[in-house]
Amino acid sequence: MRLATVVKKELVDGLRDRRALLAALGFALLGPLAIASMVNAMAAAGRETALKPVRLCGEGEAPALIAHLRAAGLAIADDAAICLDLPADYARGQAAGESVRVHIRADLAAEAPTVAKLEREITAYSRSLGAKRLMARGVAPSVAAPIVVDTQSTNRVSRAASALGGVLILYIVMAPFILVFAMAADTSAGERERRSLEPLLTHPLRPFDIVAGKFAALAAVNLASMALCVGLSLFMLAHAATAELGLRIDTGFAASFAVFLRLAPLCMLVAAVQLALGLFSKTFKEAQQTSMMLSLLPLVVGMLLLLRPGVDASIWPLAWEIKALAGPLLGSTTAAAPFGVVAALELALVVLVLLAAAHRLRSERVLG
Amino acid sequence: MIETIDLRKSFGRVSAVESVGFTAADAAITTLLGGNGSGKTTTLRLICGLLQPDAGVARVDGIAVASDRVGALGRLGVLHDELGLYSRLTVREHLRFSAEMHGLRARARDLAVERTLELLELGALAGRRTKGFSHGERIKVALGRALVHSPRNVLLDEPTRGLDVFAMRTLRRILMRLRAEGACVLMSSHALAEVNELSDRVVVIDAGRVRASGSPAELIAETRSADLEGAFVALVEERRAAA
Repeated sequence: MRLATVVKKELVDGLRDRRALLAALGFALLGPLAIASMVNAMAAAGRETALKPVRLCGEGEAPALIAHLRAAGLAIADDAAICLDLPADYARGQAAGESVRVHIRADLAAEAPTVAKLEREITAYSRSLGAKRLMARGVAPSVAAPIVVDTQSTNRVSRAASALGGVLILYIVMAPFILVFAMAADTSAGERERRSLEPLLTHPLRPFDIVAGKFAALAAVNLASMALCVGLSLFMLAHAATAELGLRIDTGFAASFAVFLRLAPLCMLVAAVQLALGLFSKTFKEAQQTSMMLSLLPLVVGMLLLLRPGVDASIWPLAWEIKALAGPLLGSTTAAAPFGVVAALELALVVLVLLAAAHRLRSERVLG
Repeated sequence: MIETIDLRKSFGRVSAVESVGFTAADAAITTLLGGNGSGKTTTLRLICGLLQPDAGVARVDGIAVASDRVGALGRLGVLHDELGLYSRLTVREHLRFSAEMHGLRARARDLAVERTLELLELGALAGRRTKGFSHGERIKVALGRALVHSPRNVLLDEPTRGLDVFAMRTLRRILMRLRAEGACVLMSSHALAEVNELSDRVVVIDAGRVRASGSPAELIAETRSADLEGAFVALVEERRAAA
């Protein structure tokens, strides 16, 4: 019951700390907004690179070429900005087997993708016409084309979309480190700095119970903030233009719950570590700085995994979460260790860290 | 009853308490009287288990603090030198927290909180957070936290420091009442007028050692001084001359 009293006091005190609350809510609210905005901005940029219509602005007529361009996905419109200038003697030149020069006039800075496509298709049409002319003269077309390049994309998802998926996972894995670090520093180093630790320690309670109460409050806030963070991220992405980028994110309730469940032990471990760091720190500022440095750990681990993708990090905390989240979020089939094994390992680490924190609380040095 | 036997405590090479032994009886106010750095606060911290003694024993109602810290703390109420309030909690929340930490629940807790608010004349401030409170108001809240569970033994570290006349009168009334109810009150102070008026027994501490103990009248008589200040100075200078 006394442990529940500590939890209640920590929650009331912590949730009234406007700075800590703003830091937590800011990360939980602004992160999803930033990622969704990034998705929409990239999709909008993609839309800008979509093919634009072409206008026929010369006097020549080329029905076969026009049919080829239409079949290749290029639209012909009278009011288009890109001009395909066919000379008046186009038909005669073609009939005579001559080489005819056509001109493309366009704003190359703004319409480069369409112009490139137009060039490619005219070149392809020209090559096929040339092959027919050679065959009519009894020459195999391969004589004039010793090498043919055929490039095919093997990736279902664009590079940008893949990077976005990585950013999303990294953001979600970083969240437990950011959401309660201010509250953790306040309830440990802050408690000592404002001299309220001494009155707390002269209540009839074992140091471990005090540590456990503080941890329970921190873990509860971290889990609740994490649920908000995951829910909000997936809600925002459900309403963002992910499909346009080829990014398939499962934003359903089952996937959200699976992500939250996979992160729950990490949330508890981080809360325990930040609490212990605060008790071992000399000042509130030092506790905050140490926790801030700790929050960079997911980036470091993420980078290591990127640089050494083959490394077996199947049960390491953090590395496991980064790999395991790709399953429910991105539909990745990358093998990860069973959740139970990792959860048991992380919860065992929580107990060890709390024992170290309680040991610190028993020591006179904690009073400074 | 609070009892210490040959308590010793050093911090590195600095010896804060060299040999402190005394008994603070029930239904009496016992004061540790000493100058700055004499070892008063360290002695109180040893009694409430915040520090572990290098040697010696501290007992609260016969319970050795070193072997049963939780048991001893259950019988103590402590007002610390640094008050250590939570600026985001209200006065009532402070008292409720302390009452619950001492095992009071539901109606018993609520009654204890209301009784303490009344005792300390804190009713008007009960719903306010302690941020921005005056020193006198802060001492009252910290005192309420120490007394809310009606402890049989009360430790007060410099309770009169920085109090105005009205707050001093309230404190005096509370200490008298605790004594009348049979509590053991052990406080530290160097406010000689208050010590003289309130204390049943004075333990003079200097350089971490007990130099003398007795009622204020006994100390004055023993040193043939005109008042307690004279007695205190005489006792400390006698030691310094001997050293």
